[in-house]
Amino acid sequence: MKKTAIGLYATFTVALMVWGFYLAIFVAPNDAMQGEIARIIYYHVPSAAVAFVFFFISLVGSIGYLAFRHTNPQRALTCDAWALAGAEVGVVFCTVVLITGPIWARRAWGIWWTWDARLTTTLVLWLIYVSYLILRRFAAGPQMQTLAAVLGIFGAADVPIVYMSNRWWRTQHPAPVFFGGPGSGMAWPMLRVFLWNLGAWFVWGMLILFIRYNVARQQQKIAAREAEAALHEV
Amino acid sequence: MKLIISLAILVAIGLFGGAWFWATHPPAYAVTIAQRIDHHYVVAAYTIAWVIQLSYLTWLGIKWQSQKRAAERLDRSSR
Repeated sequence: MKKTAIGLYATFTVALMVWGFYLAIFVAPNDAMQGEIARIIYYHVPSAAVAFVFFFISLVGSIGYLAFRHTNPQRALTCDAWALAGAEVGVVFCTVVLITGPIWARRAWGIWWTWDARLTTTLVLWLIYVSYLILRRFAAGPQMQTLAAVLGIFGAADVPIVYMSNRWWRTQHPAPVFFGGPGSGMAWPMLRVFLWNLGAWFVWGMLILFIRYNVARQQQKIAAREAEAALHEV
Repeated sequence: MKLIISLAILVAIGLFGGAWFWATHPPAYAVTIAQRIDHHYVVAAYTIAWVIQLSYLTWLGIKWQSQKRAAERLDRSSR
């Protein structure tokens, strides 16, 4: 039953992605100013939005771990698995943002990278969560989980800064397209393609988040069984 | 494990083949050199996005399989 549900969800996701790709490449009109290169927006911005959602999931998981670690260890472990899954999948999406952005920038601005507020805060966000994953990979024990939870909360604090950066500091990155005040927004033929791709990437992200969560839970169960087996040997 | 690796290889061939075809067949409006370069950059951005996502999915699949084997090993040793 579970396998069938996952299979159906995966098929639905692939269909959404394929149609989103078709819309982005063959249906959406070219941008009047930038031409074809602006089509990167259909992958770049949804990846950033989805990364923010997953860092938020990681934040909730981290807070949950810290809240339950003494009173309800089983629930704390579940929260920890969500925190890890959210952070890792968020890093994957943030990596897409940090690679597709410079490709777009090279054609639009003539440079791959500049230390602009939006770019720098996004890089800092990525570095914080990469350090979170390195901490989880190379440290061990419940202290590591506590430290990781604190780092996860600290990292999530950068998300609103990234979001607001091109509102607070007007540097190289364009002004916000959405909720950016008068003059911002997107024409409907482009907006509907954007929204479709946003939804498709979110559904795809949820699929890999669910898989990552299950892998993390399985890992916790194996670690618990190994610890139990080691105790029996003693 | 073999199934995951075979699937990953098939998807990689499909992805790179598709990207190559897409890059070498620019849209009709891409007439100038600048427009053709724009097209190649769009192909690169989309391909890289998919390579990252699918590589991560493959890594997850391999990790899942190795954990399944570790759990089976524990089952055998506890019997």
